[in-house]
Amino acid sequence: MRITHLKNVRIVDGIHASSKPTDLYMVGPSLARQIPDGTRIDATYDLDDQIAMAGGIDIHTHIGGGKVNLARLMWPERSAKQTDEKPWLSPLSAPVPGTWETGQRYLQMGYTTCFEPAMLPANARQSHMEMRDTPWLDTGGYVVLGNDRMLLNMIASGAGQEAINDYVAWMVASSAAMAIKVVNAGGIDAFKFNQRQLNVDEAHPALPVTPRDILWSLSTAAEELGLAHPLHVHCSNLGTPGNITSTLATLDAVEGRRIHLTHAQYHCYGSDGPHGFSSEASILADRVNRSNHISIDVGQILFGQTITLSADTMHQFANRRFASPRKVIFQDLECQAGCGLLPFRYKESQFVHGLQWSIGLELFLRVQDPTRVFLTTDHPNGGPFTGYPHLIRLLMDYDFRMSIFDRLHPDVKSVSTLPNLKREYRLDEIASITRLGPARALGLQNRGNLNPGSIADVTIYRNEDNPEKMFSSPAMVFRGGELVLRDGLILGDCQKTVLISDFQSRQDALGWGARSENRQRWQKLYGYSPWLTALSTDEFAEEGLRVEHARWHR
Amino acid sequence: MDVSNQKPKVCSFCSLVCELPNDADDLDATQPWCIKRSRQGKLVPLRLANMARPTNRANRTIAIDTANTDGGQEEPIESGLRIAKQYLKRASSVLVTGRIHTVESARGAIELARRFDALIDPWDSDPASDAISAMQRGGGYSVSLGEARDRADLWIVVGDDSLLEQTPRLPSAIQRGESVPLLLLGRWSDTSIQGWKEAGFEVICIECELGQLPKRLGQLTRVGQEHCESQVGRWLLEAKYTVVLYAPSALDVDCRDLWIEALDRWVLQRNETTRAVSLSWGTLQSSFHQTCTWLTGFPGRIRFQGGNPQYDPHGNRAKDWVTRQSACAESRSKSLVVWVDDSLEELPSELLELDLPKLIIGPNQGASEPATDPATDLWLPAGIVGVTHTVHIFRGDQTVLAHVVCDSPRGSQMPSQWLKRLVP
Ligand code: SF4
Ligand SMILES: [Zn+2]
Repeated sequence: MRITHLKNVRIVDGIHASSKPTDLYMVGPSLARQIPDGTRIDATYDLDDQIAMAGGIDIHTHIGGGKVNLARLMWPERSAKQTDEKPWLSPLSAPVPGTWETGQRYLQMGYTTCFEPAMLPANARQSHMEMRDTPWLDTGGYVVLGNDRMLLNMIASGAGQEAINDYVAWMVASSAAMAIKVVNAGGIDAFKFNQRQLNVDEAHPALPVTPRDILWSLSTAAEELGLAHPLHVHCSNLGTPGNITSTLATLDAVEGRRIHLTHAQYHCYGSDGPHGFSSEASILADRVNRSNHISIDVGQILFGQTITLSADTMHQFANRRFASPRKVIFQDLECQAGCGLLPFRYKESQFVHGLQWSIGLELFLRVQDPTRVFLTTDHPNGGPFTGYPHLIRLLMDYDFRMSIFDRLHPDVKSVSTLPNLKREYRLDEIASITRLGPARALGLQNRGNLNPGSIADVTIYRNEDNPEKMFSSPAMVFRGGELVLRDGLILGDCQKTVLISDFQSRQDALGWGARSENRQRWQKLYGYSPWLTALSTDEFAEEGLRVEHARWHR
Repeated sequence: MDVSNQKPKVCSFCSLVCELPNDADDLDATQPWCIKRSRQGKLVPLRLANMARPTNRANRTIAIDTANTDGGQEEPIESGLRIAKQYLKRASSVLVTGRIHTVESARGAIELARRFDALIDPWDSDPASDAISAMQRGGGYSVSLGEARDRADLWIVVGDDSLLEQTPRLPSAIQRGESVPLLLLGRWSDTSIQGWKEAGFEVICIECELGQLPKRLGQLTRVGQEHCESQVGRWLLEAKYTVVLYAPSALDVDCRDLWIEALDRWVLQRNETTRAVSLSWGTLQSSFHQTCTWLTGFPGRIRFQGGNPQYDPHGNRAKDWVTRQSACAESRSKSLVVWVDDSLEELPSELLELDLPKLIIGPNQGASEPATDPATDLWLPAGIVGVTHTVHIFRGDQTVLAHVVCDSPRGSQMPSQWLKRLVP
């Protein structure tokens, strides 16, 4: 087994705060703090007080599946490659690049594990295939439920939670998913019946089911099945002024069960102020601070051109006139969900965009526990993931933050409380929001930290005054104990792993699809058998992937 | 429980990727199927089974005989590879084209093109390219097969008989078991109209010039609002979920891209007040376009330069490349066409007549007779998709990616295996 010694390294993982340089070993694919005397060491790097963090974990980034590929197709223009000496610091070639560029650019920032948050069950195989073709990253996906007509029918007919649990277990297992994602519960399906809005306690136009019923059923299923990650929720009323009300109602709907709110920035708006649009970040942050069962990722916006893509056809359609340039793509998909894509440009001079930017930062700064707020831009929705180093600098440097704030629309400056938030993130807190926290929320005990026995995915950052510089070009990245990147240059391939949730309280999660009454119902709704779209773990092996199960540690 | 034991058999002969009955003997009982079992027990589409054995394989072709080797004989494969590598080495300008129908072949073809700085574009890519251009300009509102089947209360099916020739079971695949209004527009034979009726639709067929159709749909909608006494008018007025179904490859119109763009505009516009979607049905080639998009960021029609893909939907058309290269004697000798074939159909005569060296990787459709003539062309025989090898194929709506598991893997090489070994 190959043994690598990282000498004089400062460990920053949100758990260990080493004030002086120490030793870290990689024994094969695992980490160790010490090795028996006399052990042969294959490589030693004297790191002179440089910083070691675990490989970064992106809990929510759109990197694979039908709508991601549509976004690539929608944007055939490519920015000319800059003649920059360090191409890894230049912008992405397109808002949603190909898989190779995605893998390369994540690795060049020191990220090693990423999760696609919206796999349509019928399209899960494509999502996994795209992620398989994204080199250097270990990946997983969340299966989109809560607009699937089969579930809505079950809730409407009073099938009971036990039956719902069976069905949900099947959907998670047959999609090889890490978690359940719900997007605008019931709203995507309601839009297929031409309903243009759906509040948490409003019934679906064709079925006696409310979003609250759906949220309750799915959060209960996630908990009772013992999934590694709690219900991952994109709330109702995305981006709508005043949506803080439905966001709080969403949190109430799960009645204390674990819940993760995604791209929370888009879901904590009030309707006050000169433009009928205001920040309610403090209300949401207070709620998170008071409730240990809630985690959020922010979905920070970054100024510039991007493409927004979401399963939430209802709200993407409502926003169609904001598309820039003017083209829009929508799809209604397979009695399960849909998708909507709009190119979008966030501008500093625009009041709403400026306030969205400050609301995101407010959330980061107001949530106290850095293991329950995670760094995301909801790539590509708020901006590209390559903006993370810039975002980290915004969090760590008050003056830098204010220098951008000063350029925003004057009305943002008059209503935002951002200037009062003087907090500056420390390095260990950055490790928490980019590694430790996401790993814990996902049940990945052996990732996101530098504990002995954890996976030897390690990123070495130089000590730099400018955090943006520091986090955009790590000195080294190790994957499973092998050095794969040095000074921005990729040295070799690595074994890839697909991460799938364990079911703590379920032996045979696939049993549902084998029962004849279920086969018949499925056949009637879809016109094909449940097994046509079901993935088997052999398929991952055929594709050269390892499979790792994540567990919820109660 | 193991998914692999439960996986259905899937037909890979068109982009409908139908599930086959569990028991092969049920095949004839559950009519109408468009495939049958051959004497050797293989599934073959009826239309191919009825076709005469291809005879137009160029007699200047060296066929490397790997049939029935069961992976045992190394010799022919190795010699095939050696010659193929020489072809690639000799060529200074390479086109990778063909009928690339699986994710596996697409990956292999793209990687080969990248390593040789080749141009890559499937042979009959105009329909897909036009549909993609229309979408890149204006977008649209589309739907997947299963959603349309469940929600549609009005189908508008546009095209002609060729739609059913391409995907024979389409009417039964979109029928949910109740009578739904279906407006057939274009040119349809009585047999086709009957086919739609037998599938259970309430059909009105209006013969019309397809070129004017998007405009005419706009008129029909207005007529629907004004004269709801006509049946078609009433259907359009009452529909709450209209699905417009067409296949770009079965559309006989000039300026197909503009036509699709206009249709998509009509669909989007209709969504201002009610719900409407289009179902643009792709061929098996969709698997290439999808894979190429995720790997390179572009759907095809790319030329690699220094390993970087350059997209030019007009300049990088395979058929134009061969015309350009054939025109000049000097470029002819330095060119190479790499033809990757996942289909069972005959090679197009335009390809065989080309005076350019060719490397053909495709199914071995019969006894191979090594040619005597020193060849300019080389054939590397491959197995049959879904029959001798397991592959991934997109359904025509590009939502479901089917895992086509073969019944009895055999030793013949897949195009993807040849391609992988040709990459330096
Ligand atoms: S319609 Fe196509 S996929 Fe279905 S059985 Fe016929 S050839 Fe096969
Ligand atoms: Zn998202």
